[in-house]
Order: sequence, then structure tokens, then C-alpha cells
Amino acid sequence: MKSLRFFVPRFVIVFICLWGLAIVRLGLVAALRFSLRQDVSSLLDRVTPLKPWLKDEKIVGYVEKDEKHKIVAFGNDHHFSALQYVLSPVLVRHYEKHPDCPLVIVDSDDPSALQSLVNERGWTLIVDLGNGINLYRQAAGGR
Amino acid sequence: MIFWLIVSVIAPWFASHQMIACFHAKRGGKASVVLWSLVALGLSISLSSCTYFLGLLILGKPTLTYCVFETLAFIVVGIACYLVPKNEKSSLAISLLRLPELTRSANNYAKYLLGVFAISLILGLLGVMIFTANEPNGQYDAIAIWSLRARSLFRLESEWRNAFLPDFWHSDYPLLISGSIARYWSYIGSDAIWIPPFVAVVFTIATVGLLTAGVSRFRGLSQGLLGGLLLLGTYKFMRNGAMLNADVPLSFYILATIVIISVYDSGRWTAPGLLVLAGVSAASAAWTKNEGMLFLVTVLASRTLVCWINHRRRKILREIGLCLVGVVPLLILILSFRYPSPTGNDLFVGQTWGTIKSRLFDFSRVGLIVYGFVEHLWYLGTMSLVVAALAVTFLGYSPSRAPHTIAGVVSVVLLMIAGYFLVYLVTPWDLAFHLFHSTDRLLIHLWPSMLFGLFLYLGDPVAATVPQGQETNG
Repeated sequence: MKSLRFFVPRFVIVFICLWGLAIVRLGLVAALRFSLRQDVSSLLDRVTPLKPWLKDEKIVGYVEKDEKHKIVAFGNDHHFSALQYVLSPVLVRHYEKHPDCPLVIVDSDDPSALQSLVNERGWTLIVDLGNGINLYRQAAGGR
Repeated sequence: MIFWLIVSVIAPWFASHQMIACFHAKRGGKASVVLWSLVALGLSISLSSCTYFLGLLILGKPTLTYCVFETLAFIVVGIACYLVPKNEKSSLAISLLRLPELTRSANNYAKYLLGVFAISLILGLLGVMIFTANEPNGQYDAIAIWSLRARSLFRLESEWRNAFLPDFWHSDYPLLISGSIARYWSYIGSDAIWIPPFVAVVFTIATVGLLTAGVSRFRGLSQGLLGGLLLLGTYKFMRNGAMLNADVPLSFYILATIVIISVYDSGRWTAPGLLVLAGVSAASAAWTKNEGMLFLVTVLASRTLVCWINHRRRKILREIGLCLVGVVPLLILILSFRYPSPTGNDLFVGQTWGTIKSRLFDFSRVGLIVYGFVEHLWYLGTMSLVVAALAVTFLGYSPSRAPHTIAGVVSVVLLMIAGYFLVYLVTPWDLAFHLFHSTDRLLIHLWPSMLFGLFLYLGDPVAATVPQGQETNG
């Protein structure tokens, strides 16, 4: 019993110390490897080339036609948030709710869906970023 | 740039520190100096984000003149508080490193522990910094909520109210994190990308420090260091802090409130100013995240419960009243913030009493939630739980701890878990999806407080290494 009283507290201290160090080391290794999967950065890099095209704008519409790559959690579309974040202070709003925006960003990897939308609304292409993102100007007054 | 950042941090910290000294003139040892300095740091971030938002509301976008006046105001408040006569002279000298006076063998263990803790802290800090260096924008919540709102507040200038349009996700979330980031940007004059990581690192390390100093305040340095080590070793906690989410800052304010209340309870209720301080800290939690509002209600309920248990029923109204003195100013600000933000909370918008009632009595949901909590608690602190079980089994309960101190901690944590449980029960989202994506974060809110409660309860292994009859004060 005496040896247990001697051994156990020391064991607990050594165990916590070793375990703490091991986990922190693990965290450090994970942090170093984290650079291999920069989810958010890649999302932001995708939309950053739009910035110079919207320098003088205050508001821009947004349409997404890419259900395949859409990341939605708790009602939030990450592509949409990434655009809002990168383009701030330009206000990015859903085109469906605000159809009067003079410029519209169309986010789609499917060219056929894109073409039918453009023909239907009569938009003029300003820039095709080549990664599924296109910027259009629509005639005054919206659709 | 760096000069203005230092000014923006130090001035409100000085004011908060002196305000705390007014509320709680009696200090309890060296660990307490660090403890109150960290509490002051948290409150300074909260209060300065409030002044930033008030400045926006009244004067519009802060200019350099505003920053200078705000700094001067904080210094004046700090000096005024310093000049208020106190019962005991307070000192700002930080001397945590002086070890408690144990016997030599115990002191050796405490020294080893301090060494291991220091190495872990450096490694942990390095890990968080590498995470944030790799992803300086943080994870999805950071770009969709916190940093985005900060950018909008800073960049939209006179149209800053647009930051609360329903086009933004969770535009109903409060402003402590976004306001602090935008405030630092206003001081340094640019929206430097390293400011959000800076805030994240400060909160993560401050939470570890607060837990260590908090446990040390009650149980001695060695026990505090063990508690700090367990938190440093909780990988998910450190990683969440590095993601620039608001969960770790919320956990800081929850822990700070619980520590302050514990100090009040352990002092035989002789420092009523501490309850005002606890009120400010709890309101800061509500100013950080919506879950903080639940915490605010929980703290008031817990005070009522603890007074009831301790046969101090006549004091209930007084204690609640003191808490509310600290809560009300920030609560008014939170409500005034809701005014320009017309969006409701996603958990309650569109819910009817009928749907809520049907979910409340759906017992299959109860089982799913219990399973979700247990599963996520296991994944959050797998080894911590093993260590805790081991420690409780072998080291047992420390009889010297006042039961009412522990009752205060346990009641808050249990009421919070009950509150989260209720929210899951009525959530309009798919329950399995909601549990999968959020339970670990809710547990992170409470994790440092759980560890605080555990180490308040636990027998001291370092003291146990001292042969009987040789124990001195610790």
C-alpha cells in the first residue's frame, strides 16, 4: 500500500507530462502538414482575380449554377461567402433576391447551363476567368 | 504600425486592470496577479470592442483623432481607478515563477512540471502560429462571419451598417471578435491580414494561461500547471483557436466568469464587486457569440441555485442584482447592435410552437443527442478523459476544497450542457448533421471550465509525493 502511495502520484505527473508533450508535438506536426490542404486559401485564390474588375463597383449580383461543387453548411454557401470576403467592400448579393444589380458574377463549371442563362437574360460578358467564374453586365433595369 | 497596435492593446488593458483592482482590492498571492492580468486582458478586448462599436454608432468610422481620444480616455479611466482608495495596496508586478513553498522533494516536481509546461507552451504556441501562417484567413466561419464582418466594418466606411444586411451569413452574431479586429485595423491604419491570427493566438494562449493561473490560485502552482498541460494537450482546442473561430474566445470568457465566481464563493462572499465583474465577463461571452447569451442566463440561474443550496436564500436577489450591474450596460449595447441587424437567429426563425413541441417530445432525438455529446467529448479529449479518470481514481477528492466553490462551477457547466441539449432538441436543422458539425465546438466552449472544475476537485499529486508530516503551506 505504501509503495502504491509512493508510485501513483509520480506516475500521474509523469504520465500527464509525457502525454501533454506528445500531443503538443503531434499538433505541431499536424500544423506543418496542414499547408498541404489549404481549403480556404484555394477557395479564396479562385475568386481573387475578380477583384480588379470590380474596383469601382459598390454592389454586384451572384448566381451559382454549380451544384456539384457547392459547399453548403447551415444554409451558408462557402463559395458565396468567399466572394463576399475577397471582394469586400463590394457588396455581393444573391441575384435572385436583387435582380437589379448592374453586374452579375456567374459561378458555374457547366458551360451549357451558363449559356442558356446568358441567352435568357441577354447579358454581356465582361470577363471569363477560366475557372468557372464569369462576370457579366446586364442591361439597365435588370431582367 | 506596431506602436499603434501596442497602444490599442495596452491602454484598455491598463484601464481594465485598474477597474478590476477597484472591484477586488484584496489579492491572493502571486498566481492571482497573473490571473487578474489575464482577466483584465479579456475584459479589455471586450470593452474596447464596445467602445469601437459605440464610436461607429455615434461618430461613424474611427479616425486617427478618435483613436488618440479613445486611448487617452482609457488612460484617464485607468488612472482614476488607480487613485480610488483601496483596502490593500495592489501591485502589478508579475512573479508567477516563484514556486509555492512546498518541501524540497515536492518543489523539485513542481520545477520539472514548470519546465515541461514551458516547453509545451512554446510548442503549442508554435503550432498555433504555424496553423495561422498556413491559413491566415482562418477556416470557413472566419471568412464567412468574423473576418468578413470586420472587413465590412472597416472598409465600408460611412455605409458600415451594410455589414448587418441579411446577405451576410449570421449577421445576427455579436461583435466582440469582428469589432476588435476592425478596431486594431483602425489603429494601425490598414487591414493587415495578420491581425485576425493575432487575436486568435492571444485568446488561445490567454485561455491556457487563465486556466493555469485559475487553478494555481486555488490549488497551488503544480496543480495549475497540470491543468494547463491538459488543455495544451487538447489538440482540437488548440486547432480551433488557430482557425480564427469565436469558440476559443467564448471559452475564455466562460472560464473567466467561472473563475471570478469561484474566487467570490471561496472568499465567503465578502467581495461583492467580484459579482459585478462576473457579470461583465458573462456579458462579454454574450458579446462574443450567441451561445454566450445562453451562458449569461445560465450564470444567473446558477447563482440562484448556489444561494439556495447554501441556505443563503435572502441573498439571491442581492447577488443577481450585483451580476446585473455588470451585465446591463453590455446587454443594452448588444440589443442596440441587434437593432441595425434585422435578421433573426437561424435556429428559431420560422419555428412554430407546434413544431417545437413535437421535437421536444421526440425521444429518439434525445438518444441521438446523448450519443453525440458522449462521442464528441471522447474525440475532443480522449486521453484527457483517461487521465482524468485515472487521476480521480488514484488521487481522489481534495477535502480542503470548499464544496460551494465546486457547486458554482459544476452548476454552470451542467446548466450549459442542459441548455445546449435543449437547443439540439428543437433545432430545425437535420439533427445528425447539426450534431456532427457543432457538438465538438460547443464542448470546446466548456472544456477549459470542465478542466478547472476537475482540478479544483482533484487531489494534488505533487503534494502526495511529500511524505506525511513534511507538508507545509502550498
